[in-house]
This record gives sequence, C-alpha cells and structure tokens, in this order.
Amino acid sequence: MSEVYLARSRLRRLEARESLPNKLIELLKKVGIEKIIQEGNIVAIKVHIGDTSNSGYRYVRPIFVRKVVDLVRSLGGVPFITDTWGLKHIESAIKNGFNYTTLNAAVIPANGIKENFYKVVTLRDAFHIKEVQVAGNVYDADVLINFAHSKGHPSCGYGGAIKNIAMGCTSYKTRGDIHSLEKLDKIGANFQEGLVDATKAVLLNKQGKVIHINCIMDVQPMCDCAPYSDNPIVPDIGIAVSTDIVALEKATLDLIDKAPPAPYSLADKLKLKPGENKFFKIHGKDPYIQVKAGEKAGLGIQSYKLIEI
Amino acid sequence: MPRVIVDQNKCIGCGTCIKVCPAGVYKIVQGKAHVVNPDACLVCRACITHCPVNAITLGPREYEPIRRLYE
Repeated sequence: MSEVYLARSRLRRLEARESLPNKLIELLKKVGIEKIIQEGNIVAIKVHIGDTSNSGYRYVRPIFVRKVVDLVRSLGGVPFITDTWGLKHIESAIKNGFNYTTLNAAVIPANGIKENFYKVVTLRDAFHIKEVQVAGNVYDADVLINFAHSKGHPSCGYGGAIKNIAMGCTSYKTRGDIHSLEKLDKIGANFQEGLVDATKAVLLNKQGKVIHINCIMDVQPMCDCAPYSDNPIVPDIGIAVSTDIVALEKATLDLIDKAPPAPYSLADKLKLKPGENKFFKIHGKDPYIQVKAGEKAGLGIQSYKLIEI
Repeated sequence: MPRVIVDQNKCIGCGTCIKVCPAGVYKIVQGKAHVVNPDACLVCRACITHCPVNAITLGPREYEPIRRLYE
C-alpha cells in the first residue's frame, strides 16, 4: 500500500498555517522532500503554465509554485520551473504569472527554444512507444517535482500527474506518437497506455528522486491548454502528494468521483451524482485506464492509504 | 474544421511547417502553406512552436464529444 498525503483546502481554523499554500510545505515534508533533495541538486519543477493565448485561467496558482521554490532553496537545491512547447510557451508563462519576479526561479523550456533538446530513452517493455524523446532539461535535472493540476481532458477523460509528465516532459515527436494512438479506440485506452510509456521513460533516471503533486482545485472539464476555462465540476478538494504516481492518480480520481457535482458547473448540468465516474460521463473516456496501465508498467500500485494532514 | 489553421496573411511560405510536421499535414500552394491533410494532424504542435511568424494556430477539434454537452 502506498502513502498518499492530502491537505484539504477547507480551513479547520481561521489561521494562516491552515491555508493551503502553507499546508503544501507540510505535505512535502511528510513525503520526505528533505531526504530527496541534497545540497546542490538541480530541481526541475514541472508545471502546466496555462494556455498560449492567455485566455484560460484555472491552472495552478503561482503562489503554490513559489512555496515549493522557497522550500527547495531552503534545502540547498537549485530550482527551475519548466514546461514544454519551446520558448513561445515560456512567453505565455510570464504573462500567466510564472516568472522570475513571482517565483524566484528561472522559467525555462523543458527541451530547448524549439523543442530540439531531448534524450532518446528506449524502453524494454512498452505498450506502444519504445523510443521516447525525453525533454533534455528534465532528463538532466537531479530531482523532479511533478506539480500537476487535476482536471478533465478530451483524449483521456482526466489529466493529472501522469499526463503532466507524459506530454509535458517529452518532445513533439513523442507527443505526436501518443496522439496517434487516439485513433485506435473510442475510450482512450491506447492513448492512456501511450501516456504511461512516456511517463515511464521520463522517470527512468529519477528513481527515488521524484515527488508527484496533484492540485485538486479548479477541476475544470477541459485541459489547461484550452483557450477558455469553465467552472470546476466539483468543489475544491485540496492538494495530494505522493512518491507513487499510480497511487496518487487513483486517490485523486476517487476523491473527485466521490465529491458532489459543483453548482453551476457542467457536472451540475449533467446531473452527475457522487460516486459516478465523472470524467467518463463528460468525455466518454475512462480515466482509470491510465492508472491500471501505470500499475502494469511498474510505475506504482493502485492500492493506497490516504493520510490527511 | 481542421485542427491547425494557417493565417494566409501572416504566412511567408518558408516551408518550416512542412519540414517539422511528422504527419504531412501541410503543402505549399502558390507560395503559402496550406493544410492539405487535416485528419493526419497529431496535435504535436511542432508547427506552432517552429513557425517564425506565428501564422499557425490550433483550431477546435470537431470529434470531441464534450462539445455536444455545451450545445
């Protein structure tokens, strides 16, 4: 059984330490960040910085990333913020609030200004993609903090920690390889297996050197890359952290599915009920496939113990 | 509607999109890039990242079932 730590965004007391950015620090300490980061380690913090047209707005708030940066620095690590799609996407990051001024860390492309800096990682066992082009800066980083936003996605029902790595820490060739799998079935099974292949390749040189975070806030129906944002389909839940990406994704999906549909949301319009597979109802894609595939690929286990702080 | 759209006023016909596209989506017709094979698009965004004049954008994907829920 893997441990998944959860901090709820709901306040128990009217105190600053109860506020989620502060609880995030506590979560990272619980999961062992002080042992994972050694002095001098270069730490990649992968976030989805939002869409390129600066029209969507329900991505991870920069204040949470700043808290992670401050903690990494206090441990002697050298952090940088990163995302894919080259330098033009970093220009969007700056406008969306992810920049040196707000975060106290460099924001750089994961794989070069035009996505041509990558390392080819060959998988011995893969569902579909044997050769994965891993983003060079993520490959080279000593530690990876995979800071994902949990939300819906039209290709796989849901996108969180697995998708943040698979699509966000690879190159356009690998993204194309994964998207080409979409045509093979209607419930997103092959696509999600492709996500797992890419994730496995990225994590290959990060054993014991990675922390996965799911921000389960602003759980909108569509991806952060869309040029619009809709109301969240469930009330804000909080932030979940684990070193087991499979357990984290399973726990996150369970939390979202157990939650009541948020008023004035698409889930409300569709009259979804607590306990229903919400993303399957919205997108027709079963998001639990990526969790099962992740377990099969050896990325982690589905069985988890949820520890609320 | 194609997934990728070329702004014909911005396109300078340099052929960069043809070079980077892994799926053969583009062709130069009368000095400008045109989307000739929209269904082949893999949404990898290489063309958008590489286009030197920001002539390419991603259009809505027509097969998304979620669109019907907003109609």
